[in-house]
Amino acid sequence: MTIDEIKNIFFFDRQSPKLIQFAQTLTGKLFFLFLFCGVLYLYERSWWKMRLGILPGWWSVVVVILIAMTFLSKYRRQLLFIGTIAGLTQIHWFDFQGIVNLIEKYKGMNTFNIQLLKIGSIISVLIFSSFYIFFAKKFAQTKMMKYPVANLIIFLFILIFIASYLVSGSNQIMLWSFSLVLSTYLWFICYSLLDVKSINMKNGWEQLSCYLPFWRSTNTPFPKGMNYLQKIEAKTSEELAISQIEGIKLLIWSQILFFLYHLVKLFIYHFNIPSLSDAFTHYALGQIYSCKNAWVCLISNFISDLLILCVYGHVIISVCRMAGFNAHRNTNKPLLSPTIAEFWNRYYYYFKELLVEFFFYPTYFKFFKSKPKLRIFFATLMAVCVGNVIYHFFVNINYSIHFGLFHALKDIYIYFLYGLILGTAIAISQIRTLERKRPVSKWWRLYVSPFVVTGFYAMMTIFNTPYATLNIKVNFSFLLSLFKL
Amino acid sequence: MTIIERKILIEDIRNKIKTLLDRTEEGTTFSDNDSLVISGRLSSLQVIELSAELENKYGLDFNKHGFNQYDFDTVNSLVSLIEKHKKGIETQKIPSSDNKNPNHTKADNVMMNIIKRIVFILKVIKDFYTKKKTRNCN
Repeated sequence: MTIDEIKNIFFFDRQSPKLIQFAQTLTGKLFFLFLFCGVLYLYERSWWKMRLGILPGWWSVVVVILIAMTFLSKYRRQLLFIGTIAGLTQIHWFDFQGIVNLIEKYKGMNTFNIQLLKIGSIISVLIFSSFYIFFAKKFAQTKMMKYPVANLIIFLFILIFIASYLVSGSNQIMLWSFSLVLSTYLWFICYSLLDVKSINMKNGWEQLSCYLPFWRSTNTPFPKGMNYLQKIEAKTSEELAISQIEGIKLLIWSQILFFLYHLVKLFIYHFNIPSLSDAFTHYALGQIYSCKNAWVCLISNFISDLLILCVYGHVIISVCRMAGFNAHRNTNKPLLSPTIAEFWNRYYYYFKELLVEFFFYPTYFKFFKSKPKLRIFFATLMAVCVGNVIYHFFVNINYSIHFGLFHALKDIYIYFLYGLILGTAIAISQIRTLERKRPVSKWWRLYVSPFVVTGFYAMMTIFNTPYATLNIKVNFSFLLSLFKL
Repeated sequence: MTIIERKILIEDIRNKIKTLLDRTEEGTTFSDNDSLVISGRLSSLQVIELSAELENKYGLDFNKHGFNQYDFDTVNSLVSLIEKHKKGIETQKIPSSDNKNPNHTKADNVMMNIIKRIVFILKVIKDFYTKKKTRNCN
């Protein structure tokens, strides 16, 4: 064995044929599984006493399913389905705090079994989504089902409206519960609707198996829907070996980033740097920071948020890769982005893809065909502003449960402004990229853009907190204090 | 589509993709079956740029036929997308022997011919009677 080969094996280089061969043997498979599960376990038993929030129950589910998927790769889809069902029992997918508060509001309803309500809502949402997908497929040619995704979003808004103003008592609780679960499943169902033509109803359960999958997710489907999973699925033992090597590499990298995250957190605790939401509270009370303190608060919070997003995304994708689905990384070197549009592409890939597929493409191909620049500008604004606000409105559905639909829509105006500014910036950046004929110079990419582009996104985080502040003056006074104004 | 036309089409698509990849750090080497979209080598903006060029050059209408970004994943999938579209246009254009309206099907044309002939016969009969009437009047 040459030094290069040893180096390739040590660094898990997927190009190394010897490593790929080794990963296909029984010893190799066991070694990689042991290594992966061991590194994943470190997140639960973290030696610096900070955890990612991984549940021990989830870890055991992952281990069992990954072992089964590695040795019984023929039954990968069935195992994915079983894993997802098992994951539902172990992962707290649904935040029922708003419902609990609502039950407390109604005296005499304290006997309402929250677990039963949750299970009932999950089952009813899954039955509803199966029927909806079936009808969307059957009546795809009709005007009613021309835009099934838009119909579903409107339907959810109507449900929230009814739950907010037209019903009360147990009906209200059940309707809110159904809306909350549907809002969590929303984008998973939308991915099924996107591929509705290619869905075989006999294997409809396969669609359900990637709804809140066992490798975890946020409200953004990681990594998209079943159609995408089928495309990235390992078909041979060699492809599975490559996918698993990539998974282990990513998980180890996530541990390094997790270590960095803790260093940043130690810095934050040591110097008593407040979080952004705490800073907003201080500003609302009239306590304005000095320029230096405001910058330190902004940058440290931005870096820690970026690192934890990287870690969380990497852990999810690494489990997904280990299961035999060689998915794209969620965060991929965002600090090296030469443009604002590129940063958006690299920062939170699956969220960006969601906005692109459900808002950007439909708008782009429908409007302003004869005006290319306006076409891109409008479609980007629809995605980054409107799509983004709709997404976050449903993520924060507990706010609507507490205050009602119209109040929640009114209070999200700061986030809407954020979307408007960001959307405009990304659209301009995209148009400039299209007009540019040569790649960005290396000097600009390495020494200027990390400061300009990242600085822009760091400043945007002041407005990137839906419902954190209700008065835009607070956000602006924080922004102005950065420049001693 | 002839073999030569297909080769030209493939070359054209390869060049377009190469131009797009030239502007990134992803490298410009790829085969006709290499994944470009799923692998993340082409961003959604580049897919849009490519789709706009195909709309202009080959008259594709994604709003009408639906847009799937996975059709842009490989050179081969793009070629089959354009071929499908071209076939659609050609079947619309192929005229049957006495077809005047391209939107009519073969059955429609047979019916039109029968109706035309009936109308012609009725006209002849009508002419015959009008001539007979004028003769009687005279």
